[in-house]
Amino acid sequence: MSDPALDEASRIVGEDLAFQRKVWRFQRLGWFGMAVLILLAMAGAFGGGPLSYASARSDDGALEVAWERIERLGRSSELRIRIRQLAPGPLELRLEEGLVEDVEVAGGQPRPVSETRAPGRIGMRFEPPPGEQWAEILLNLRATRPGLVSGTLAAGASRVRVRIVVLP
Amino acid sequence: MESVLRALAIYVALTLMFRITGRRSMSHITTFDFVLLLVVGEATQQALLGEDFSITNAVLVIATLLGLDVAIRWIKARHEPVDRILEGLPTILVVDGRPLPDRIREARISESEILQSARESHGLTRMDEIRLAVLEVSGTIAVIPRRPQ
Repeated sequence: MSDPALDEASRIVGEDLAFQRKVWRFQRLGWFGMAVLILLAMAGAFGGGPLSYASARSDDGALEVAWERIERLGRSSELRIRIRQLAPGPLELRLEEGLVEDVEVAGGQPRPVSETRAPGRIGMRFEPPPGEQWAEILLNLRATRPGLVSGTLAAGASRVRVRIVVLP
Repeated sequence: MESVLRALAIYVALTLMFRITGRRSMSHITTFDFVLLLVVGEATQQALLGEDFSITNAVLVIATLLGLDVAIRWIKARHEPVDRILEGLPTILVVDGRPLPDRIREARISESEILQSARESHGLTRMDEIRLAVLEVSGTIAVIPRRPQ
């Protein structure tokens, strides 16, 4: 129904209600988008929650790794490694490919007895826990660039592929 | 290059989020809004600077933000559709003393807020004393009183 007074006021003010309704609709969609973003964040889709946790085991079952597959640049994440001691002597752990080039090891527990570095490979040697079948090593990783980081973690002949999505 | 990209990403994200939350966010600033702005500034600081706290990085980030702002203003002044999208348009809420309930609801305003603006700007106390109440793009409610008969 046309309203002359409203039409006149609308013209003076420069109103475009159809356009404004589109803006309001866009805003409502935006609120929905932000709510989804918050829910995803709580579920860990951006790191630090259940959706981001990953774990893998080597084919021979002697190496188990748990890590965060979604990570954010500048935030350190934990790589939890369990190694079955098949033979007496120090444990040798190797980080290869992306875990060397795109990630830096910012500490861990226990500290390695010695460390070596070659192009594309970091070697770490740990004292094994006496009397235990499994040894546990925690490494704090910090990504140096956003994107997909793909590398291998190896102990002896056991190998586990680790993929991490690093968000900017 | 990273400093410029960081500043660009933050500028786009903040512009989009403030546009989504609506123009009323920037008017009628309450104590909580003020705290919110401080927290937003605090949260974006790290993302803007990264781990580089040098004067060079700070200057680059500030230059990028100010440059973007100037560029956006320049584009808005020359292209009306861009201005409409980024700033919005005024919306009439009351005409000849009649409140327009659909628009008031959609704009997330209450009649008491319109009356508050009428009291503050013109000392009006009743809806029928208002000729026009317009929600401006700045988020304020402009009130034009009816002329005495």
